[in-house]
Parts: sequence; structure tokens; C-alpha cells
Amino acid sequence: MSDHESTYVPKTGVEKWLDSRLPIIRFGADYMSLPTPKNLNYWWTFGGILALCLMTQIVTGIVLAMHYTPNVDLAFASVERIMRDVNGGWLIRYVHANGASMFFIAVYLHMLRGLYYGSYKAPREMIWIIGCVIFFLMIATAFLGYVLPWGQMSFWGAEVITNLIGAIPGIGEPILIWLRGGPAIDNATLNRFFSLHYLLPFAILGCVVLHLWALHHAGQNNPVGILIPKDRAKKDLVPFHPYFTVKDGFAIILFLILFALFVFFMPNALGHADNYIPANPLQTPAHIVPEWYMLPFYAILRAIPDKFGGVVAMFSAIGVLFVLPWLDTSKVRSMRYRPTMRTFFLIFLAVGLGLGWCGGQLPDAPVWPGMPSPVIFDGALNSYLWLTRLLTLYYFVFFLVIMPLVGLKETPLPIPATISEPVLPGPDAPWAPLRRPCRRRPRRRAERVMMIGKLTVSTTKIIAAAAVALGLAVSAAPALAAGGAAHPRSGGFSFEGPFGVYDQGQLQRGYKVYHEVCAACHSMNLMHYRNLGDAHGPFWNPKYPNPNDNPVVKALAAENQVPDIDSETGEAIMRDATPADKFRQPYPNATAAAAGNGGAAPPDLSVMAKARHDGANYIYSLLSGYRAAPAGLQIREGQHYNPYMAGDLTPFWTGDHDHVPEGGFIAMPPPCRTARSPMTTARPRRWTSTPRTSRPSSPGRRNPRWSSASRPASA
Amino acid sequence: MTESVVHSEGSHGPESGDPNRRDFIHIAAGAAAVGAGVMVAWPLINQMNPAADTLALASIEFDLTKVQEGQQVVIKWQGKPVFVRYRTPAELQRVIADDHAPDLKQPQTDAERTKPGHEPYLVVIGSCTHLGCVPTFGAGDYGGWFCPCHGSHYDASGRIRKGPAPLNLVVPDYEYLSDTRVKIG
Ligand code: FES
Repeated sequence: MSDHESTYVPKTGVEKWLDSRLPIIRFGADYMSLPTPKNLNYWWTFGGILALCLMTQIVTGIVLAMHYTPNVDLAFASVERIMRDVNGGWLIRYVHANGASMFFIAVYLHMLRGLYYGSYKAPREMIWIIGCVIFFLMIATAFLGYVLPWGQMSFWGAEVITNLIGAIPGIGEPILIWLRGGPAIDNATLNRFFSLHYLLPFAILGCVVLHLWALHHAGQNNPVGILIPKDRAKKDLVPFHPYFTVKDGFAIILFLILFALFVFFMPNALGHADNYIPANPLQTPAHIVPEWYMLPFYAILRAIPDKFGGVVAMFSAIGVLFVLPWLDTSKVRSMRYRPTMRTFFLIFLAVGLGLGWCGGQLPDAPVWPGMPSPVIFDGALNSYLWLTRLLTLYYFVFFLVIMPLVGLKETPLPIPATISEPVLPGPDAPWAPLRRPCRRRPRRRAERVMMIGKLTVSTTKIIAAAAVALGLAVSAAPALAAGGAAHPRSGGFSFEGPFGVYDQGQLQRGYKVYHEVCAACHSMNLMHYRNLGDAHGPFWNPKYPNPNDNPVVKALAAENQVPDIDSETGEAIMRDATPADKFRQPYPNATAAAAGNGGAAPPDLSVMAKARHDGANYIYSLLSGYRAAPAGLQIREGQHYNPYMAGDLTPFWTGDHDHVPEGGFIAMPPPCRTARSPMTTARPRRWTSTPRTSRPSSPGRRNPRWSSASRPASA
Repeated sequence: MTESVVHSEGSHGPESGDPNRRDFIHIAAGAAAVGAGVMVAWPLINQMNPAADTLALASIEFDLTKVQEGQQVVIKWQGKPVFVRYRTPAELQRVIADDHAPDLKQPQTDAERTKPGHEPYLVVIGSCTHLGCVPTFGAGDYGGWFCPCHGSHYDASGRIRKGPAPLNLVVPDYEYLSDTRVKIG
């Protein structure tokens, strides 16, 4: 089907002129009329979906690069500026960030399709190998991109992954320093990662061209897995357009719905809260995990007790895919006709998901809590460590032992002579004499493929596809709760759920509490006073589309003094803040903040609700969670017990604030007296974290209270 | 030598002229191209090595009186955390008792990891020798540090006792300027 006759006939003069000089229209037309097996099922639509994913990432990435600053001091804030100030920036960034996950969901399904239907076997080895190169480049690109926001996970991910290279004996260390551009991950690293993150997608694009070239040369595989005989080409092949453009288009629409669900309703579900904490080279997050799509490989890395061995195992897990065409000894492509292999394949699928799950767990944690088990070698049998090891073993055995052996030993089911045969049974089919006996009649209904002119879509397959996608997505949400801390209580907030709205009155009270209490220690570096008058913000007034003009915002800003330089004398002065200024900082710099608080700087609150798992509820629980410490717990001076805080102790309240704002808030903890007030503060924290999402929140219009309430809270 | 010339002459056919010289030109041109390629590639590769300003951040000084007994202070040196730990007598006793424990992956005595006369003070780079996370102070099975990333346990001498890390926490080059001041790097 590769060398099909060109059917393009140039019509207009311009087309004829172009066709004899650069036959680019012919190229496109031939491409669209490419004869394609008519039995391709929905698993074959992921190629088109992947093309869409790649283009989405490239386009959104290019525009994000117009706003992003690759500098260790500015990167985090520049990403947050994209979220807050760049027009539609939140959408573009969320599409790009979730787009990476969508890309991997699609690529895993695409690869599993290839594995199941034997698309890697002769004559399609090169398609598969180039595909593996693309997969590897995707992992590299995703890793580089994840470093760019310069949050905690970015930094520590970069640290751990670059250290993998340092594990190579002898030359590892110099290569590591070369790669990082210094002894540690720093500005040089961030700069080059940005450059490479911009470059690699175009390398992927180049490989995709090769992938398609090889595909069109060797021809598409199909669910039956047979090569289509020349004499049946007319019957079994249909032009790509319109048959598969339409089919792919339908799949793309379904895929985009899933994509949109993530972007608009749970944009951070696949990420880690820790990445909203700016990178800190002196502190590792309690639980570091890579993005979900790397978890299986990360699990394999951790399964091996030796450092270099782990790295080798991890890379082998990807490397083994490259030689897959030579590991599989069976001549039969489709696993439909290889029942034994299909069983092993299904186990492999479960093992892959299991590895992903294990990759997100602490290795020493028990799989079944409370079940005693013997300690083998270096860990209890009932631990994720050993579960991971068993799964890793199967992963490699599947490729290195099962594949070659089963191919030699098994007896495959009879293979149809044509792709039409399995779906059009009966003696009156014109090719009935060609049919060999087939024992697998009951499967037929489930296996119906899309027939031209008689569209029967296998619903079981759509359900199966959805289940796998869901499984991938669920394995994407590993245990994210902070280790050891109690699960946050629900605050019952008005903004929860897809149709939640911010309550403007509460936002205003929240600002008041922040201004009068929290602001004594905690900065909100990413917030400007003008943000208070942003659409659906606490002091939003539709009369002032530009919040800088909003008199309430102006008055609130002017209550604060900010440092500046006198434009005439050049001296450092303090002046009244304007709406364009950032929120006043309680301390001149981070060192002063730490020195004033027993060594631990109070965290910035701008994105607090995103920087903690279950953000708003966490803040609510934490603020109302101070209580007497359980007996036997050692409490140092200045610390207070709070079950919701990871580590259970918090230096939150150092005891020198006894100002209680009007309306009631926290007196001296422990314990926190009223439950209502913490809720009030949790609200604006959440709003400052996601001031502009797609939420249909319009308290300004819905809530008649806002107009009477839009006065300075401290008035 | 002569023989091989005769052979290659035969294989090149009549109009190929002096094959010996042609082969030489091919090899020489090829070698020159490779050499030029390397010369072009080297600056492009070498630019990624640490720049002069990065290398300039060589050493720092630290006042030991800032560390309380039983505590550690984390300072930043060359972009990495350095732990300065003032160990209690009990901790010291325990690590010395373990000097020849069989589970040491990289056997070292505590004395080899400190400076004579300043045994309570341990200075190590706070970067796990597995994949570089910062180990947590005071946690783990051996009273030293515990690395949260993949579960490496270090004792109070910074020696790896359990987990995937292959080496002890690295002791950087440092010297005592006075009894209470050290210079790291
Ligand atoms: S980085 Fe410390 S155990 Fe892996």
C-alpha cells in the first residue's frame, strides 16, 4: 500500500504550474488518499491524537516562552505572572501542563496497541524503533519542562534525575558537572534546560516525520495482523480520507473532552502541590515523586538496591523496547490469535499499572498495613519495595523470557486469510471457500470492527479504552497526602466543585484577616493591591474594569507603606502604596524573615492553597487544628501541636501576636477558638492561588451583597 | 606493503591512477574533516562546563558557636547544603562504638571523618550520596540522618548504614582557622 498510484489531477493553472515544480499538493493529496485497512479499530486513532498533542504542546509552548524567564530568581514568579497577568495565560499554561499528561496517556495507549497487535514485527521494525526514540525524547522533554517552573519538585526532580548520570562509574561525575554547568543544580542548569526544552520538541517532530514515512512505506498494521494480499487491496483497503479522518476526528473529540475536564475542572490534579513551593536547595520535600507518567520507571529504579544497577535497570526498561522486534519469535502479529500470549500481555498491563502505583509510594511502607511479614534481605516482604521488585521482575521476564519462549512453544489460533473474514461469516460470503475453520465464534460479536457502509462500533472496546485511560489517570494520583499528618477536614466552601463560586463577602473578611494578622509575618509576594479589584476578587466592582481605578482598592493600598527610592535625591524612602504595588512584605528579605521566626521563614501565602494537598481544606484544618499535644510528645519552645501539620509540630504561632481583629479570629493557640474565622482566611488564600480559573464564579453579579459590602474592610 | 599496493591497484581498475596516493588523500581528507569536526564541537561542548563565576564561589567561613550541642546548622556552599553538627557525648559514643560495625558499606572510623581535637563537630555535605536529596536531621534507624527520597539511613557520623546510597556523606575539604571558626572549601 506504500507505492499506491497517485490519483491527484491538478485542475487549475496554478496547481499545474506548482505540480511540475514542487508537487506539494500532490504529496498532501496522496497522503490523504492512502489506502488503509478498513478494519482499523479505535485503538488506531491514537496516532492522530498524538499528532494533535504534539502540535498543542509546541504551539502553547512557544507562546509560553514569550512570557517565561529562565532565571532562578525570576522563573517561579514569571510562571505565576503568566497565571495572573498574562491575558489567558492561565489557560495556555494549564493546557501545556496537562497537555503533557494527555500526551503520555495517548502515547502509552498507542504503544500498548502496537504491542498487542504486533505492529513492531516485520516489515514494521523501523516504525517501532523510531517510535521508541520518540518516546524517549518525550520523556526527556517532559522532564526538562517540569524543571522550568522552578518549584520544589522541579528542583529536586532535576537533582535526582541528573544524579542518575552521576552514577556511571568513573566518567559519571565529570559528565554530571558538565550537564549541570556547576557543582549543583543552579541558574546555569535552568538556562540550558530551557534551551533544550525548546529544542527537543522539534527533534520529536523530525522523528514523527520519519515515523510516518516508515509507516507509509511498510503500510499500516491492522487488528487481524495479516499483510493484505495484493489481489484483495480493492476489497480490504479504503482511502484514508474520508474514512479515517472522520474516525480519528471522532476520537479526537472524545479525547479533547477528557483533556478539557482536566484543564478546566482539575488543572492541578496530575501535578504535585509541592511544585507551588519555590525551589529550595536546602530542603527536600518529604516525599518526592516524579510525574505520573514516569512512575513505573521510577519504581524500577528504586527496586534495585545498588545505585548504578538501579540506573541501568531503569534505562534497560526503556531500552528493551528497542529490541522488541527481535525478542518476539512468533510470526503471528495480532494477539487475537495468540491466547497464551494475550494472557501474559494482560498480566503485563496490570504489572505496568502496579509499577506506576508503587512508584508513588514510600518504598518502606507496607502494602497491607498491619500484616506482619518476614524481612528478606533488606526489607520486609510486605512492603512496596518487595512488591516493586516482583513487578520489575515480571516486566523484564515478559520481554526477555516469555516473548521468545511463548512464540516458539504456543499454537496460535487459525488466522483468517483476509481481514474481512472474521466479520463476514456465512456460506454466502463471496470468499467463503477461503475460510479456514475458526473455533472462536463467540468472540465475534465483541470483535466487530467498523465496516464501511455498515458502521458497527464495538462498545466493549470503547469501554475498555475508557477504563484503561481512567486507570492511567488514577495511577496518576499517587499518595499525595503529607506523610503522617491527619487528613484535612472539609471546610464546606462555596467555591468547591465544578460550579462553585467565591463569596465576595468572605473574600473581603479574608483580606481583612490577612491584612491585620497574617501579614505581620507572612508575605504574599505574588499579589498586587490591584488584584483585590480583579474580576470576582474581593473588591471587584464592574464600574472599574481596570482595578487600578477602583477607589476602594486605592484606599486599601494607601493604608500600607512600601519602600521606594526618591526620584530626586536617590534616597531610600517609604511611601504610600498604590494599586500597582505588590503587597507589603513583613520582612526586608528571607534571611530577616527566618531570623525573626526561630530560623524558619514563614512561607509566602500567595499560592498556599495550591502548594498544599487539598489546599483550602488544609489551611482551614490547620488554622483550627491547634490543640494540646498528646501525652509523651516532646514540644520545644515556640512550637505548638497541630495534627494537620506534617510532623505534627508547627512553629506557627510564636506568641507575640495578641491582636484579635474585630469579627473574631484566632486567639492564642492552642487551641484555635472559632471555626468560622479560619474558614474566612482559607477562602482568600484559595482565591489568591487561583484568581482566574474558568470558574463560573461571578459573585459580583450573583450576590447582591457585594455592592454594599465593597468598602474597605477595616473601615 | 608492496603487495597490498598491487592488490588495491587491481581492485581500482585501470583509470583510477595511483591508488596509493588516492587512498592517502581520502584518509587524509577524512582525518582532517574529523579533526575539524572535533575542533568545532569542542567549544560547543565545553561551554556547558562550569563558568568562571560559578567556580569563583569556592570557600566560606563559619562560626561554630552558632551550633548548639545536639543540633545542626545547614549552610549553603557551592549551591549545596553543608551540615555542621555538634554531636552530644552519647551520639559520639555510639558512632565510635560502630566504627567497625559489619554493616558499614564504606568502612571509615569516626576519627577519619573529623579533625583531631574537634571530634564533636562533624562537617558533611548534606546531599545524599544516592541521588542527592537532603537527608532529614535526627531521623532514621541510626540516629543520624534519614533520606526521605528512597530511604537511606545514615548514622551520626554520616556513614551510610542502610538503603540504596552507596557512600558515606561526603566530608568536604575544611580547616579550623581558630577553635571556633572553620573555613569550608
Ligand atoms: S536520594 Fe537519598 S535515598 Fe535516594
